[in-house]
Amino acid sequence: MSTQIRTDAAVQKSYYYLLFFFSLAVTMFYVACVTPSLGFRDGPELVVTATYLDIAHPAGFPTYNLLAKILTWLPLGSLGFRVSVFSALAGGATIFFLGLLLAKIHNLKKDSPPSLPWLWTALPAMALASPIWAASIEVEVYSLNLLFIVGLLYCAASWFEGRSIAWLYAGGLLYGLSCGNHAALALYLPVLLLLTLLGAPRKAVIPKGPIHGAATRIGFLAIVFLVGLSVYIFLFIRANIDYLPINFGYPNSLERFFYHVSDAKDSDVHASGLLAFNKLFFYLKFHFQNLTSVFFWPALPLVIWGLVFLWRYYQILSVALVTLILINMGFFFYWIDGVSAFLPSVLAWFILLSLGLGELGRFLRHLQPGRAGIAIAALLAVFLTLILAPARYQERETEAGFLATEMFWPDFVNLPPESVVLQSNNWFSAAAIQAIYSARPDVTLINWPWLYQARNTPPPNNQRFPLALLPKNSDGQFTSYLEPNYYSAFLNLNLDSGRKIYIQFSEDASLLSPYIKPDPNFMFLGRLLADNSAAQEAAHAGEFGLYLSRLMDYFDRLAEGTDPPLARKAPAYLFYIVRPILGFIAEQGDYASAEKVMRHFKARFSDPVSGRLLIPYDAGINAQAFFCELLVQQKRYHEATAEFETLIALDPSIGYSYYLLGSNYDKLGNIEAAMANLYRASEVDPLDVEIALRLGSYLAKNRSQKAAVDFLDEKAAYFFRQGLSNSGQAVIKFRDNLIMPPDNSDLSNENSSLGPSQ
Amino acid sequence: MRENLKTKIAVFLFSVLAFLVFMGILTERRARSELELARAAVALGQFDSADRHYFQALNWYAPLGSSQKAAEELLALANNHLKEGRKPLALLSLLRLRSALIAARSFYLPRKDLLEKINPVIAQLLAENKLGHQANEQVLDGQALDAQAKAYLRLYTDLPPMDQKWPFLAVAGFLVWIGGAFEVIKIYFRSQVKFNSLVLPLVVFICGYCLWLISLTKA
Repeated sequence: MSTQIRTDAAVQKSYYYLLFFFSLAVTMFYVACVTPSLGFRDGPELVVTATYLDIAHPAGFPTYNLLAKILTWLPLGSLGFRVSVFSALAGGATIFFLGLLLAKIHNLKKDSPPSLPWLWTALPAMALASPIWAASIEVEVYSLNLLFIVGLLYCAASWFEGRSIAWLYAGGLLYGLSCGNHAALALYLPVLLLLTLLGAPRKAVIPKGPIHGAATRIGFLAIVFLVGLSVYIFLFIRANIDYLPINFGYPNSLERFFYHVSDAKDSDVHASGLLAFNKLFFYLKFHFQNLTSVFFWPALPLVIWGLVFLWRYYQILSVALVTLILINMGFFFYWIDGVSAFLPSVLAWFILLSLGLGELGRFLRHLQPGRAGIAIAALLAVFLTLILAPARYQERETEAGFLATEMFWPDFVNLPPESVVLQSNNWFSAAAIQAIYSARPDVTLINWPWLYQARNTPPPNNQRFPLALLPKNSDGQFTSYLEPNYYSAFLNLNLDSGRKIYIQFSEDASLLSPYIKPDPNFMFLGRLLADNSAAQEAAHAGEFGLYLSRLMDYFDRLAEGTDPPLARKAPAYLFYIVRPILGFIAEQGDYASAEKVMRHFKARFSDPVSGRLLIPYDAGINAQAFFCELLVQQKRYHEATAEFETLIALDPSIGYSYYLLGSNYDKLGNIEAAMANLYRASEVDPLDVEIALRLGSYLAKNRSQKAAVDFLDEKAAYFFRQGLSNSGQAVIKFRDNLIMPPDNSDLSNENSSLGPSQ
Repeated sequence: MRENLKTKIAVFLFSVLAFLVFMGILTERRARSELELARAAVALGQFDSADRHYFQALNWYAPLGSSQKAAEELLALANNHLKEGRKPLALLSLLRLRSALIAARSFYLPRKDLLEKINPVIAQLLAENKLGHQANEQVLDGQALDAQAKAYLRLYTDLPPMDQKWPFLAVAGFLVWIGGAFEVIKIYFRSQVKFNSLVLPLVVFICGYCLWLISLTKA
């Protein structure tokens, strides 16, 4: 009997080693896939902030920066690659600790040892599921976030298991630190309170050490949590360092510190998911749609089995997991992209699936002891992995390799000496090229986000911008960004000294949150244009023309396909850079130049037979829509009609395209065609309140007020039926304004003509 | 129990070693592949493409690896450009080389000797570029050129901070205070202990915290 027990223990031990080596293999797989260079979006910024111990965008990510910094000392690969490897390590560690967590939870049922092979059957599928894989191969905080969540649940499960209350407090400390990785984890506070106040160790076991009551627990937890949370002191100290390549938010005073860590600049957007509670149904739908890409729905009974098991052996943990999923649905989906936001939910689903599989293993072992069950578990693991993993990978930036660097490099290194670059697109890519690569120390680079947030940006000085001429006050001190007309003064100084100024900016306000209004000094653009038309017109126009022709050359080189990944991915990114510049040119009335570049772009990247743009979906749609817009702006409505038809053919499920076509027919005076397309827009996108209002307005103008009121009443009823009370009320208000006398009908007048909502 | 711990430590160390070997092989293979592409581009006279592939070979930096050859060959290419009078191309190649080496820095800066060699050349080429623009390609004033080149050289030798002592202490202090805090929790709450046994972990925690704070101000 004792030999049997020893053998069982040895087998269990070997399973744990197997889990460890499996996690190591997963980590290596992630490393083989990681972004080799700077990456996109937050990637370049986080590479810089980890390298220099800088301050990243809210909430600053001090825990991430301090831990990722360790990898920057590894003398293998470049800095960008090493910081990506940190994500891979966090992803691999998550898989390992998740395995341990599952074993711990399953062990709550003491009368039967867990069936580890069954319990871990879904781990390979989870490791290779596209959102987990994606989070583990790019420079982001999300894989570390998952590791923290698993760690917190592990601490809670250890306490439930009957081990000492030290585990609970260790969880509190870990929670404080994890909030320093991504402040969104603070939202899981209800889950933690649930576990702390209502949870208790299993009664059958006498835990080591003291057993505290709820109030004592909360008291001690608050202390250890605050110790962990004190990692945010990092921001306060680092903000005062003289030279930081990225000092986002400049949190060197208490006011700015709280503004930064609470992400006050976007607070309205963050809360909107929770406030719009009536949209929970839609979040649910969205959640399940996203989940379909990573979850094998026939396995749903196993999830339910897992949930039943958890409910039976530790109710509070099951409630905590479900709450975690609900918090993700209620809060995140409104404003973050689905992939990164619902990672904790994916984790919770996989935990429940694994517990279900574990229970299935126990059941089968009961029926048929021996190795047959293990073999079936292994086959099931292969099956689940094959079903879930390979076919689900999305195209990620990894494929583009060095694109983030190469996209800027040729333009950047070819700048004349001592140029000044004002850059907005792609956030900190160009800043990273300076801070990580030190590409052109003589070039002054100012990021537009710094201008948007002048209040929260360190004062400029020549340590930061060695060669730029910076405005000074009468005392010879550098003036702040907040001084009136700072940017005009800055640009005048530099333009007058013969420096070349290059701008990349976005004329739409997509980078501006509603709380950050453009600085009045934005008017400096006027000065730049005046310079174009006055003394420096020729030089500046020449530079700009040269810039555009180089872009077209670049399209040509890419289209030649000498570098397949670059050729496939670059046009999309390039389009997003070119788009605002062309928009700017068009805004100045030079439609011909903008159209010329767009025609060239389309010609280089279209299928010669179908005419379809051979670039990723969203860029293709946007490029075509922008091309249509250029034609409409030139009042070439007949040509625009054909291009709108192409836009609709690209994706017939976008209601707004029909709306734009209807608007175009309206300008041609073809009321019937306009009406038909507006109705089609409303049918295709019945939830778009703006389309409904425009159609109502158009009916009132071209049919009758009664027809408009009937339509709007029907639409309002539809919105209320769908639970969209805000939209329903907006329609009612619009209807009421419509039937009022014209002089009181502001809203009606405002919306009486068709045209893009912008 | 101790035997068990020894096995765990051995497995962990073996894994770290395996992981580092894997990363070494990965970076070396990729560096070699990029180096071959760069050589092919040079043979075809596609200097833009050659620069890019040498740059990417250097991205896969490993001590004693193929990236070292890439650095030497990119420098040779730049020198060749200079000999043939292709100064703009030489400048682009040298900027690529300089940036790739700087981006591969860790606790040391690889091939500092090369950087010391190329920075004056970059400064000189930029100065010629700037004064050439201003003088409209006429004969350059030698003194003005020297002064301008010196100014650029100061900028280009002012590298990103390489002293990693304080950043290292900041990270070490952070890890120490976290470890100390967990140890305090473990000892204090696991059983009713006397205060004496808490002294050491508390001291470790406080020292780690202070080290972290001080280092952050200096890193």
